[in-house]
Amino acid sequence: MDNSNNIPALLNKLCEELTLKQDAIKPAEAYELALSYMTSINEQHSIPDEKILCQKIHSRLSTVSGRDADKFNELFAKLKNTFVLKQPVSVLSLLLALSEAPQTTNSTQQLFPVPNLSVINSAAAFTGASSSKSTVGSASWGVNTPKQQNSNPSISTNNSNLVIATQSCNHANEPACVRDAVLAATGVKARSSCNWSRPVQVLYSRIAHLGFLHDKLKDFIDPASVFTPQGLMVEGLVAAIREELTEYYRSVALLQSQVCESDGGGGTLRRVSVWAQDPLHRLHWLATIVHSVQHKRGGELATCVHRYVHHGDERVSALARRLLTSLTYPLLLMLTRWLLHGEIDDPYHEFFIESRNGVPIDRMWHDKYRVREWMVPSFMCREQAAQILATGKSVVFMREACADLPDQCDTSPDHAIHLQSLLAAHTRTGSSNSEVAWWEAEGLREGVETAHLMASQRLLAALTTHHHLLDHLAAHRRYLLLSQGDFVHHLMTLLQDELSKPATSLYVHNLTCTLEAAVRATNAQYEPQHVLSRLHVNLYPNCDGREDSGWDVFALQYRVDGPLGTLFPATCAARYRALFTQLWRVKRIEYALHDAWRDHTILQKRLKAMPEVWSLMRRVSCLRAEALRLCGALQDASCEGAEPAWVELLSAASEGHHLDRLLQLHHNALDRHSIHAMIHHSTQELQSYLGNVLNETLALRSFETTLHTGINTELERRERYEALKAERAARNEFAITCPDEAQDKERRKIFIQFLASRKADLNVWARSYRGHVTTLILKLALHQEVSLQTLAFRLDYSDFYKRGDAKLHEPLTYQHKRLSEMGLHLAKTRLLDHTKRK
Amino acid sequence: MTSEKNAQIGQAREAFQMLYQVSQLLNTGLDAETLTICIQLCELGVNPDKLALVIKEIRKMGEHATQSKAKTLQL
Repeated sequence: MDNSNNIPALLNKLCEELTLKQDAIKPAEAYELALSYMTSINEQHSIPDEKILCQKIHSRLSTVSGRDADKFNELFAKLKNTFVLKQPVSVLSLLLALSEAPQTTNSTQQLFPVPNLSVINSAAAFTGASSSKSTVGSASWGVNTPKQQNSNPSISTNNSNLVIATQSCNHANEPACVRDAVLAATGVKARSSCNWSRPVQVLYSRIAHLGFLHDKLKDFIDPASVFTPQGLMVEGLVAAIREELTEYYRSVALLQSQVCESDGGGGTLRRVSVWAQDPLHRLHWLATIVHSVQHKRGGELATCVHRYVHHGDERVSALARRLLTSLTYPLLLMLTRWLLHGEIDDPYHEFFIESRNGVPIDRMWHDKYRVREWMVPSFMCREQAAQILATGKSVVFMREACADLPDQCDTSPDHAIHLQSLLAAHTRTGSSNSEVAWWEAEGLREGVETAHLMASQRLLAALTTHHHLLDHLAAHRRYLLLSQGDFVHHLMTLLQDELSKPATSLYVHNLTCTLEAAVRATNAQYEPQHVLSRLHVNLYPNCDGREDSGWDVFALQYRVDGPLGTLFPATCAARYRALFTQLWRVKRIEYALHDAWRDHTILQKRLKAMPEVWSLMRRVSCLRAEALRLCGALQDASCEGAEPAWVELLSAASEGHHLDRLLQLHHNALDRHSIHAMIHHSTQELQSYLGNVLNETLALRSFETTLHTGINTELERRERYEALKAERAARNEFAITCPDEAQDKERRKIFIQFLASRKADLNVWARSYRGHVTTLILKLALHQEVSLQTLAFRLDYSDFYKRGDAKLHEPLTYQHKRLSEMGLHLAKTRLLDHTKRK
Repeated sequence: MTSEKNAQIGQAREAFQMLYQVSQLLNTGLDAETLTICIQLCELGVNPDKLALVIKEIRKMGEHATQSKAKTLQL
């Protein structure tokens, strides 16, 4: 014996080993402690009985996992055979004393019952080869029952009965029959049959049914089988089923070994049939599930299996849960990859998000990816799928359209950790039952939500900071929807002459110069450069070959490119153009009327000597004011109507909502604008009526022009005549000659006639104009959009048109509705009062 | 003679491996070297219960020490 083998030295070494891992304490302290313990009370300890010790260990292990217990039995049996150890029991008891309850189970729990056919065998298995071969003894029973209840209660409770039952069984061909039955359970054909008694046959066929189910499952997992659809998730299912079958084989193998070993007494057909209960149930349900998932793949498959999770039978539900966890693992991988990197790796088209080829980059956000509705597994709701789609899309968008990757690596986002933990949890627990599977865990929803939030916020931040999303939105509104008043007015003034020319004589470069002049002269010059550089003039000639004036073809254009091009696609630009055209038209008419007023006012001063035109001029200006008010009301309405929508959009953008929501709000705002400009598809009828009114208003302007030129020429003629008279008087000649006077009279007569015909024109115009306005108001009042009804009310707040037209008295108008609602309300309150009084 | 010795060593190794597996199954937390020492001690007739008690105590001591250390670090 060398030095290292005495007890204190070993103890010292042990202490060193133990304290090596924890540097907080010194080996010397530990050694002192150990010595004090060892030497304290040196009573002779009783070495525990080997058998009892084994059973203790076995029972401890079997509470955790049946497989571990089996393994221990094996190891212990081997250990008995080696005679190197002198004190194996002592070592084992040390290990037992040190053993702790494990936190997580590493191995799968027992799927199939371990066959435990003969009492003798089981006792031998537990206590090792050394235990005496006892017959069915009460002592051995008493020890064995508690353990057996852990692993397979069905057999232990029936054991004693079975022993009696088997006594009466036919002993002659029993072992052969049992052997056949066990073989049949794995689908191997029996060699002999038919000469058994009927009850035996019934039992046999019960067990043989296992074989049928087994064959069915085997067909399914066979890679060469044509019934199995291709796909990763199907592979997952196949793997899970294969695992189940492996367990089943193991169970059957144990059964077989026990049947072969036991010499007649242990293995009876009845016992085997009792053992077959559980496997039958399990295989039956496996076969049912496999049958129902045929020809399904991807999400459909998951949905199909997920149905069984809600089964009332716990065992079925647990089985389905295990299968589902296994088969959805590829889905989880795909999902994580999509959420974190925006990549789709889906060779078998199983993922519920689809990527379409050949979509240009500017349609990427809208068209490239979409949800395959039928592939969304049923444990995921529709909103979640939409969120997942938006998240991955944002990631891809950031990478491809915005081309920025910088903060991807350094922020290490929360959601990544979330999802990684989901993945880790899945790989760690395997198919363990106690843990919650990823697809039903709270973590999934949370992970998806945070991922969505992070991705959309990052995207929005990038868009607002690097790509000035908000600036562009505001610029669209200011310049295309004419809310920048000074700029629009100035541009109108500059362009007026140019645009009155026919469209063919207009050139974009001239107009661009004018636009730049307008920008320089107004507050628009303070806009940032990235906005101004995008503002352009464009001409959109009509295709039908009409002779257009410049007004018809002119439009401002706001060019967006890069990632924003995705958000303001061509359809959006077309809508903006339509809106611009309409608003620009109303604005131009208003401007023309104001112009007419200016001419009128200038002319007015010279009309003191011309009393015959006063009444006509007055009437014209009244009608002009009427038309102007209508234009003003239309513009007000279109501004106010869309205001809330814009406010909502801008606040959503500043609060960092996700992009889809912003797009939707933007769309809404445009819708509101279109409705109030009456070019929405729901207001097509109104559009034509409004067009009539606007055309009439323009006619007033041209009418006034002719009137003013007529009056001007007459005025000039008179002035010349007066000047001539004054000149002649200065030369001391006769001021008026006869032919002059006659000519003057003739001219005045023509002028009076001119005025009379203008008056008649004006009357005709006024009648048709009012007719159009009345129709417009009526149609507005009948429209289902409430804001248009209020517009009708606003256009005729003083009942001016109503008095002139009987049609407007119809009880459908907004006023009537309001009145009747008020009446209803009054009646209700009265009724309430009445009942209260009662 | 040497072959016999070799066989014995092999057997001992095998036995140790088995014990180590049992130790893993029972989740004792002993590593191979500690287990070797423990087996030797047991072979020498040390009371296994007491040995277990000692190991547990030393572990507990280590935990206490690290906890108090952590506390002082926090303070």
